[in-house]
Amino acid sequence: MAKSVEEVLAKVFNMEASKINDITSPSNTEAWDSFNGLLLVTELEKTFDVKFTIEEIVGVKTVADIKKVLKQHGAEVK
Amino acid sequence: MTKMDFKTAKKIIFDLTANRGSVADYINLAKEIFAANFELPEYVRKIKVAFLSNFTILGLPEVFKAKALFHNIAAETYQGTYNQYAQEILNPESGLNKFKPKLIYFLVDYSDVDKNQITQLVEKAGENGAKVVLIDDFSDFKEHWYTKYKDLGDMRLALDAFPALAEKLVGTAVAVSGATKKCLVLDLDNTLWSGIVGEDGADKVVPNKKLQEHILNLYKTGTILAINSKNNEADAMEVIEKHPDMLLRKNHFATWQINWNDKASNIRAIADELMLGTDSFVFVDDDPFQQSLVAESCPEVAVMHPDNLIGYVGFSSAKLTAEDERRGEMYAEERARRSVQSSLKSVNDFLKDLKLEVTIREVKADSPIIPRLSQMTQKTNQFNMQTVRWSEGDIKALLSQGNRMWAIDAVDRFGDYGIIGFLSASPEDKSVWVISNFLMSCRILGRGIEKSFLANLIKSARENGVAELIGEFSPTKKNKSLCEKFYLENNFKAIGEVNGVFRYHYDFTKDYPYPNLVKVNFA
Repeated sequence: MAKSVEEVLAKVFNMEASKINDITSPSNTEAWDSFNGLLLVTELEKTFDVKFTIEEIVGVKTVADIKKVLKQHGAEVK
Repeated sequence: MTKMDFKTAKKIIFDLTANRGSVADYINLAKEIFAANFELPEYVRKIKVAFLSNFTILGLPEVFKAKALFHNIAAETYQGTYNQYAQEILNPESGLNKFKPKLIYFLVDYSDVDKNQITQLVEKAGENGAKVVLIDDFSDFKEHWYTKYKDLGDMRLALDAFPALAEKLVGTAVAVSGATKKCLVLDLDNTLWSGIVGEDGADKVVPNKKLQEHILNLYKTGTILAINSKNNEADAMEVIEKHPDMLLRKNHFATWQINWNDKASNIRAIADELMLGTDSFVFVDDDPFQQSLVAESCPEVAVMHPDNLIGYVGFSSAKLTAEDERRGEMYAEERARRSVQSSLKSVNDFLKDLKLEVTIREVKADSPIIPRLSQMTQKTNQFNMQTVRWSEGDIKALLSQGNRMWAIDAVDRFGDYGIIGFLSASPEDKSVWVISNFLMSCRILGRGIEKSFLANLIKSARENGVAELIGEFSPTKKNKSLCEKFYLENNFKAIGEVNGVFRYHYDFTKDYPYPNLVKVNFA
């Protein structure tokens, strides 16, 4: 079943999913600090049943990047 | 969103435990609990807990907090500054030392620190009375140890491991704060055995061996067992008494409610019969309806599916004493006593027939029973005049200041109860004694033991030339019914109330003999 990246971010950053879009990034989201960034990685891996590499994690800058990486892993993203 | 209160929070933790909730779920819940700042029921224990580590454990305190609430523990947490554990411990002005934790979890990876230094720090950290738990073995978390998170933020333990780790850690908090569960209430069909006895037949059900082994171990370490099942008693007993693969038998259970009443009422009936508070109860049932019925009407009870019992840490106790090891057995013996009670003509005949003997001993500073006495002050709620909790150190300090203390133990024809009461008298001056602690295990009340204990105190007071003996009663929800009138009914006169503490004065002109139903020995 396809799952929503926005909903995972909303849960981790404790904000409304409707306020999250493809350009959401650490620079425009106060709650996206380094700890919550790692929490997000954990939550995404659990939700989409994938394992990211360090390079992927370091390379991700926006929500659009997250979706791209997830699709490369074959995850079904809503 | 539902309004966050204690009951809702516990329900959420129950769901997270059953469905393997993620770290983010727990952290969010901890934040919501903190933000809601709801009122906590009286039975929730508060404890200050600190976390120190030589690697990043951000998030662990929050997960711990959420987990602890399920055990009726409200944890206030402190997290040491990253990698500053030595300064935190050694500097008297550090955040840690100002926080004054009761419990410190020290998580250490030896790959880049000196083991001897850590040992010394652990010792030092415990000097202010905190219990220090060193966690240096992560072999249970191999999959989570030194993953990519190590390089991303010195998280040597991946976040994913926190729920399971926190669950393990909470066991110590349960023990230290005295929130130890005492009674395990069990469903039968599809819990103790697979199958439904009323439908499948007693010889067709299959006892759940692994679970029963675990429960038997809990029984051996002092957990009281009870049954709460919708069945015909005869059907259920046929399995319990006759099925060749049952490990748990009738004699392991202190009581049972096998009937068609609702399970919440049954739990209350069990609690009344055993004279225990339901906040020390765990209820295990496979049926989600029964789980939520009980969780809804008794939020203080820890409710869980049988699959979650084996990893549950709520039965952890600070120190296993000889009485603990026998408690499950003692309550089962108690059931045999009660069945004698109903077949005898009068209570007095019953008491005589018990052949009850007590032994009173004075407590000295080197007495080996001090840990047990401290534990009793922590755990006894119902017959406990002041409900003051004393550590072993407190007891020793009071003895060195001239307090006199006595312990009482009891034995009858059904078995040995061990130590069942504690009494302390503090001299205000040479001629005035104040009873500063007086508690009895409530399973033996009403047989003259408490009167024997008081008679001994009055005798000692007379022998020591005491002119005034004062008793005190501080009401709580739990001690009211047993303690409120106790002094008044035993030759004491009320002399007033100060700050919610009622005081009573003993009338030395009256005789206070040992009750004749109890044989009193002195050790």
